[in-house]
Amino acid sequence: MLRQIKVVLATLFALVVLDVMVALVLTRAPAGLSAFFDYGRSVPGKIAQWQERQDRPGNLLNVAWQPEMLAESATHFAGEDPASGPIVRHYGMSFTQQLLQATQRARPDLMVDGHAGPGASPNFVYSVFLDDRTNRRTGDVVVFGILSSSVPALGSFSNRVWVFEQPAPFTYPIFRPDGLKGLKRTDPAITAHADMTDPVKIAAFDAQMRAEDALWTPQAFALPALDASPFVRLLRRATATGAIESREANVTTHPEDGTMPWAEVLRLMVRDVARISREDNQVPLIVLIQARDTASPQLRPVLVPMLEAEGIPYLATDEVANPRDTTAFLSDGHLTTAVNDVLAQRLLGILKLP
Amino acid sequence: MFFTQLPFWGFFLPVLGASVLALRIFGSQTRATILLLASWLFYGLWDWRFLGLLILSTVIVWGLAFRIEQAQAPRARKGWLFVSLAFSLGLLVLFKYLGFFVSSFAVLMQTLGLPFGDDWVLRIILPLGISFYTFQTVGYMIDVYRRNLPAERNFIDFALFAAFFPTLVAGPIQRAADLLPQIRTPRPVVWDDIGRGAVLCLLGLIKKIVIADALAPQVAAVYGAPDPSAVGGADVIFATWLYAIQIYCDFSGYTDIARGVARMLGFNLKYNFLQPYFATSPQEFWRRWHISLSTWLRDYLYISLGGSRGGAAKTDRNLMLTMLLGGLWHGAAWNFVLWGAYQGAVQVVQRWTGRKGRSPGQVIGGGIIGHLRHILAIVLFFQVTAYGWLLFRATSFEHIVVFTGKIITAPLTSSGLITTPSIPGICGMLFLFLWDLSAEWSKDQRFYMRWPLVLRGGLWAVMIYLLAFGATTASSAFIYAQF
Repeated sequence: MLRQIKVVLATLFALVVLDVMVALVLTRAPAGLSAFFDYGRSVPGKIAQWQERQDRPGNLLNVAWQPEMLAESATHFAGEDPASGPIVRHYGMSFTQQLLQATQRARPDLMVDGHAGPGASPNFVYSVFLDDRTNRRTGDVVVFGILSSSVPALGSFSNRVWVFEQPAPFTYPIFRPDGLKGLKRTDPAITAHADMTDPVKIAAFDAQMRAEDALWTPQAFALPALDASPFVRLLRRATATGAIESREANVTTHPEDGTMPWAEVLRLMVRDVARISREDNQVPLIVLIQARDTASPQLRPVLVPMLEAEGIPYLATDEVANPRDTTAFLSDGHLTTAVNDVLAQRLLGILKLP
Repeated sequence: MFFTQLPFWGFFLPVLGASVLALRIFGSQTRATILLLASWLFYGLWDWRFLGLLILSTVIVWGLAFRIEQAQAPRARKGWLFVSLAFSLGLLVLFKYLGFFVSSFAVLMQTLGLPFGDDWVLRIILPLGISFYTFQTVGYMIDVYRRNLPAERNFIDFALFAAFFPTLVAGPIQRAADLLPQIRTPRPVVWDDIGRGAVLCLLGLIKKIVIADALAPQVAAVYGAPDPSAVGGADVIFATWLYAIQIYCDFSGYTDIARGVARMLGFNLKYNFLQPYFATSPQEFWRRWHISLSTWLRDYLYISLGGSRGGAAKTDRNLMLTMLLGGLWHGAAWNFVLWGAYQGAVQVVQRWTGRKGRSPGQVIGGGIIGHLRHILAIVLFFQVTAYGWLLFRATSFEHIVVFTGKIITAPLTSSGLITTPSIPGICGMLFLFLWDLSAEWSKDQRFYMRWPLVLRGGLWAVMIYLLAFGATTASSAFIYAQF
């Protein structure tokens, strides 16, 4: 037994030495390698780093906060020429941005106004769409993007909860079915970037995430003091991402029931987008973005029958980019330019703009 | 509940504690009972519906073995053996192959333009580990028939042999002569067992999580491409090399963990892999790859067919039949049959050339030239093995034809499907290469035991760090668990 104890002690000692050596090497390592190890920092640790150094590459502290986004949208709207013709106003994420950029390449006179958040979940997109209603005009086109891999986040308040590696702290409401009334909105305790310095709101939001967020994962937030150890960061990344994926899978496998009946919520959202747009004499267009990740929810079987039955125009990316075809996607998961160009032509074909 | 998931370790650690205490306080029979209940629970947690099948099969095989043993007349003994084989293999055929045979027959009828029913497709769920536990009990019955082994009197001991949870899902296939004595007269677990078991588990987890799971997306990008005709030959070649590494790490990783877990419980399981990609010939490869299956096929099928007695032609026939059935054992699909035929054919060709396979660790020649020849032989034979993996991984006959055509006609063309494996995956492959090279070079699977304690501590620390480094990849099911 003494020999075994010696082996265990030698291993622990070597592990500590190795960890210190790795930490030292990482101070001079290429940015890619440092970033790889940094992915495992706790969420509070990453946010604190961004707060300390605002110019840090990849700082997501001040992106996609809705009050700022809506204020900017209102300013932009006020500066538009009302007689300039229809504007394509898109609500989504980088996928919809890139699609609309491709559409503008195909049709340079097209006017586009975008509202996007990183990896935006449908609840983020829907709430921006609702709150931006006064910043649209008659005749505008409303492009509403749904990204399949973000669908499980319908049950979450913030990217900080479920995008462990890049936990942008911006927040959004959760919408749940509410009988015949449609969707019930629950707003987060923190809504603006300025709230990030209010200890009362921070504490309230912390409690709200623990109690109501379907993807809340304690190990992503715990023990930020251990972030100095690269080994702990690696372990945290493994356990936190695994736990978040498992919670997402729990949502995904229950489209019509469970903590977040996402299929029902998406149908209600899409129906509402079409209704509001048509009431305002705008043209709705739903873009179903099926991500490369084949484990994410399948949008087509859930939404296309309803969209066709109710005559709501839609564009599904899986018509062009099979999720199993890796040549259709870039290494970061976005669609290739070639795919976006084909989708842009289809989008123009659907819109039949003058 | 995979070995790579935390719930398994949550299940295993209490079982380990209970098993050690039971042996110390109550003796071997209580330990066997606890391990049997744990094994049945483990199986039931996978799919409780088939636990009854496992228990029923165990009871019947246990009873039939007495009949075989007690029958004095050779005809009667053979008759009881036939009954017991018909039962065990019948279950295997029913659950694993019936659907395949029916759908293949439907395709044949369709090809011949003859009528067939649209509903000629059976959807039978494959009970987990059925191929492994069936071969294990069939081997036992043949051993009893051959009078190599007495029938086991104690049902609990026999049931534990049939359902021992570390090996239940994907082997290694155990021989009754090896495992039953360890169940009957266990030795106390000592700290050394825990240490050795932990090292095996650590190595297995690295192989599975850091390497195999990291390579899986690269392989799937090519083999799962929606349009195989658009895939370049270079993509196929590279993906097939990666698949060769993936399946080795996946399966030998499982085996390492199974052996490690068993070791911590006080059982010694034999090696199932001995650096297979250092083989230079088909015969040598099968002395290094899935050794528990290849020796099973040799002892219970090849020798039963006549082995190498009866001349060259019969030996070739026996080899082909053995490998064909070995291929079919892997799964109810034509690509596995083709893979088996390919493995048989390369062995027959080796026999025709008059070359004998080396034993693992035996160098081709001396000096620098000899070593260079050896390395060249390893590299060339790896290509032969890798082509076999193409047959194994393909999803249809058309897939095989298209990919083989691509390798021949456009070996340098890439359609950009292959991307560089992740940094942990690359580090893991480098580590495994050095590990296997050390074991091969020193002709000692536990080469590290010669190292000073500090160096060994360093090695374990590097392995733990490497596991944490690669553990970000989401772990998937073991490939061989589906067989």
